[in-house]
Amino acid sequence: MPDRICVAQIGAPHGVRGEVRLWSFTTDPLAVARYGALETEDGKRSFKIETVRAASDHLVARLTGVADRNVAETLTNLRLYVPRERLPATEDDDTFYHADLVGLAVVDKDNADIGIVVAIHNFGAGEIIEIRLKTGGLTVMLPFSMAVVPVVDIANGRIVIDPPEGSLTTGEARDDTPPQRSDTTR
Amino acid sequence: MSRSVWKGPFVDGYLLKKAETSRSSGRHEVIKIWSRRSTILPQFVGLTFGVYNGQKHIPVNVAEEMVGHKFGEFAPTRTFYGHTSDRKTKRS
Repeated sequence: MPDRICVAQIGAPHGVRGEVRLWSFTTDPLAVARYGALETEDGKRSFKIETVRAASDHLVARLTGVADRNVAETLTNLRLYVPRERLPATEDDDTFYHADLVGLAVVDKDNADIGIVVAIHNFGAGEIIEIRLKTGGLTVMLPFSMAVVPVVDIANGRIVIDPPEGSLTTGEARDDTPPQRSDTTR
Repeated sequence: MSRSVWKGPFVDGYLLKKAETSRSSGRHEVIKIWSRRSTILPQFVGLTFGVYNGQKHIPVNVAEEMVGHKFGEFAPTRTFYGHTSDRKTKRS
């Protein structure tokens, strides 16, 4: 489980009164202001969001201790983090934060090492877990379902998978016939 | 211009055969397909297809509301990773 989670990045200054553009990475962009003081990557500086409002494709925020444009300019491209424990608990045992899953080791039922989790996706057809195989090459994607991922053990940093047959192979040749007019259904 | 109704939905023939074989076998498997252009038919509901995106197969769990769409719609060819931040996922 990561100690801190990146929730936003400061952009260019906005105006001359110390406001900055803020690129929020949270699900609800304005939720970035609800996590309390935001820290820099090294944890040495922290900023509290005094005011925040939505602009066209970003937020405009006023941060504590940033009173003019010159100070705001020094903060450009600074990433802001919150401690992981500030995120609220998930609704149930089958809901997980992406941040908790990414980086977990992937093992099979015999405890053999398979790879690590690199991302979670949803392209509109169910949750998908992307795994970088220990053997290298392309990543593979598997459905994030109870059947395929029966065990998620965040405390021990691993998930157990029961992959469907042939789903861990990459780059195999096409096994379908070349599309021909006679091989189509109308 | 949309496809003429009298032609019916387009689907590659081999895909129908694969789906039928998988359903009859009753095994828990991902049906690897390369046909992104095929329409999702009602008989595919409940099956999981691995739709090729030019690099790898993306698992597509077919649900009822996906009928009539094309397989390619659910397997993007470009992936944006972004920051995980406070995003959540639910195991189905």
